[in-house]
Amino acid sequence: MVQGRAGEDENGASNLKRVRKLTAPLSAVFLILVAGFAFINLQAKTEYPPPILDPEFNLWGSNPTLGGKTPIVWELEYKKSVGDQILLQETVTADKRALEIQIFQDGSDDNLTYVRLGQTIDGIRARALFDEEVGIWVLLQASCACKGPISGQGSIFEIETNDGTHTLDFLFVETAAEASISPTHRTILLQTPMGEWGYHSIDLVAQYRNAQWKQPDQISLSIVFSASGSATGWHTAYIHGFSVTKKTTLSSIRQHDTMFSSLPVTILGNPLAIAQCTEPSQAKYLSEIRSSEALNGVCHKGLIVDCSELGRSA
Amino acid sequence: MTKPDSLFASIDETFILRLAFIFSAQFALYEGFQDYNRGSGHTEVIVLTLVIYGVSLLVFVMSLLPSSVVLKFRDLPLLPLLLVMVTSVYVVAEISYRGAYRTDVLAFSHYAAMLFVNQGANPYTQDMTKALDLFKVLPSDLTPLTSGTSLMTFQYPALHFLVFVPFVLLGLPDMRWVLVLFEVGVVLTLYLKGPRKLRPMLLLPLFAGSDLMINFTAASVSDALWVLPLLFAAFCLERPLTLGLFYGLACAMKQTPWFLAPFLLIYLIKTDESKRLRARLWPAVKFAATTVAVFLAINLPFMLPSPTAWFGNVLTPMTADLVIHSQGLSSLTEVGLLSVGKVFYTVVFASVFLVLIVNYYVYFDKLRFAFWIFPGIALWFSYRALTNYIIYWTPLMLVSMILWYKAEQAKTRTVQAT
Repeated sequence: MVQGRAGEDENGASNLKRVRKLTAPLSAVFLILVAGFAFINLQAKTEYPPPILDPEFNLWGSNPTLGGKTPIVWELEYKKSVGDQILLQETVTADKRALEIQIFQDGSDDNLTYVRLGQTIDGIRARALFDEEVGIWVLLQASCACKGPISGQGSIFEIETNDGTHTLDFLFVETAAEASISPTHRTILLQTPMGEWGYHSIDLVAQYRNAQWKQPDQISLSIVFSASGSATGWHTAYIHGFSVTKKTTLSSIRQHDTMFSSLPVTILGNPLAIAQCTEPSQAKYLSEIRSSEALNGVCHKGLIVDCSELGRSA
Repeated sequence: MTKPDSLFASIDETFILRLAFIFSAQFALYEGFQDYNRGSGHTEVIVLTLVIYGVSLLVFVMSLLPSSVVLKFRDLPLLPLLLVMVTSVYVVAEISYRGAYRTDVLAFSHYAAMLFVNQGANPYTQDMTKALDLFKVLPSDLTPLTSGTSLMTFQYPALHFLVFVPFVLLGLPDMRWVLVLFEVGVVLTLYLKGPRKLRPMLLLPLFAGSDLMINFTAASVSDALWVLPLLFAAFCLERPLTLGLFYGLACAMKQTPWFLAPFLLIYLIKTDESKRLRARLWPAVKFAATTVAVFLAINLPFMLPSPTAWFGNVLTPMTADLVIHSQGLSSLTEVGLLSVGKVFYTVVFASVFLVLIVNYYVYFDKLRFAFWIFPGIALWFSYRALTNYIIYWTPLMLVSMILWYKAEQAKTRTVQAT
């Protein structure tokens, strides 16, 4: 009996010894196999953050310095004189959710009033920004000269990229013109009709290739809206958001835009009827403002409205 | 005539003490200079810098005085280290960061405590966006999601905000000082529990760089909160109920110590193999029951009214669409060198964790004191392997060293007695 027990103990000790001998090498083999299997089967399913964070301005927080709410993820920088006003808000205009940027330039001095919403993009996000198609939906509204006609050049609405050495300015303008070029700075003019949503593709790769600039590892992307000191009055711009997608043709997106914008919508509480496009492929919209509402504060191309009683709602 | 103290102190002991003196003076000088640069123009920083430089010079001189003096002032290295710790946190937090929290974690926890105090609200059901305004959190310090938005919920067990409740009631505006309080607790506990002869040397790993005791806390990293209760737990390994109490508190602070559970259970089961299995299992059962009881006692009041919200939030690191962000293996994916998904890293993390558990069980005799760093090793393979998931295990490694030292000392005494 005692002999049997001693035998069992010996067997147990020998088994334990074997387990101790094998556990470490088997662990290494197990880890290699698991890692190899996982690597083969779980490749190319990487979930990277999008190149542009909060591309549709979903996250808002109150900003005690500026007053009201501002997008959280986008770093805000602005400059204004005492009498100037800057307002950022979430709104719906022409059937699209949008970030509305308003500047009131009081014209008391020559200083530029501007708002910049930016973010720094680096690493894999920067590479994706160059590899994929970046699009932006914008709507420009004609400046509203309060207490008199607009003087000077009005407002400038643009997307700016800066990699520390090179700057690209994508300017949204009503009339197309030639791009301006210097060794470290390029300005690209994107024709944008007033009062209508327009989609623009921002082709960073092409711009960098044309300029023979090296693709950077880090780049800042900013939305800039400014009004010169002489552009007295309210200036408004809207951004629906950025889209970053696989490279595609622009025409299909334009067509989508046309269909989307052909619904009756409301801007700043005032009804605005947008007629169906005669030719969807032309992506051209006909718009009209009901005359009774036009004087109620909505400033559009060709109209000069007395906004003195309307405050910032114009 | 030689003082009695130095009679019993070995040459090695005084040499080690002198080394600790020079280290602490040198570290204080380094941090003092950093503070001078960070806070130039601020009168209080200049005054604090002068004090730091003065103390550093004093400790430098004392390191090379006769042994009797060194032994008499053997605890002096604590002074410059604690002084620069508090000063640097102040300068970095209040001057460099202008009082802004640099993590959403602390902003959300502070705000959760405010909501609880002022409205009696359950933070797990609240939107935390307002905290970002209150504590001036920068967009770059948010936790981004793969959708392009950021995390806006409170994601930790309840003690992570309850710990701030008394300080909210006291009107403390910056909860980093609570973290500093916990850090001072960690330093003093280790110091007092360490072997008297070697105490100052125990501090060296904590201050081998400014991140662990200064920069992370100043940047609002809240891990000091779980380190202190876990430190208490580590000193009670032989008392399962007390161990469970403190471990339960640590687990109710943050999720990081959860990964220690299997190793603690193995420790309790394998620590005295001369006993029968049943006798060895009993301490493990007592420990597990106490831990669960403490954890639930703190969390149930928030869990029961909205279990989905509680589980959804607390399990965020495991379930939410957080982006890969890491100083570990997954940094290869972050920079685009390795094209694999989060699942890959989760599989590797789970495998490493399993292998560590099995190996700890099998090689317990050799790995007995090494298990404190195992969660850090496993987490290094996860898709969010941040440095604070690793670096905060250092104080626990020091506990292991102390326990090992004491065990060896006891063994030597037994041998000498026989």
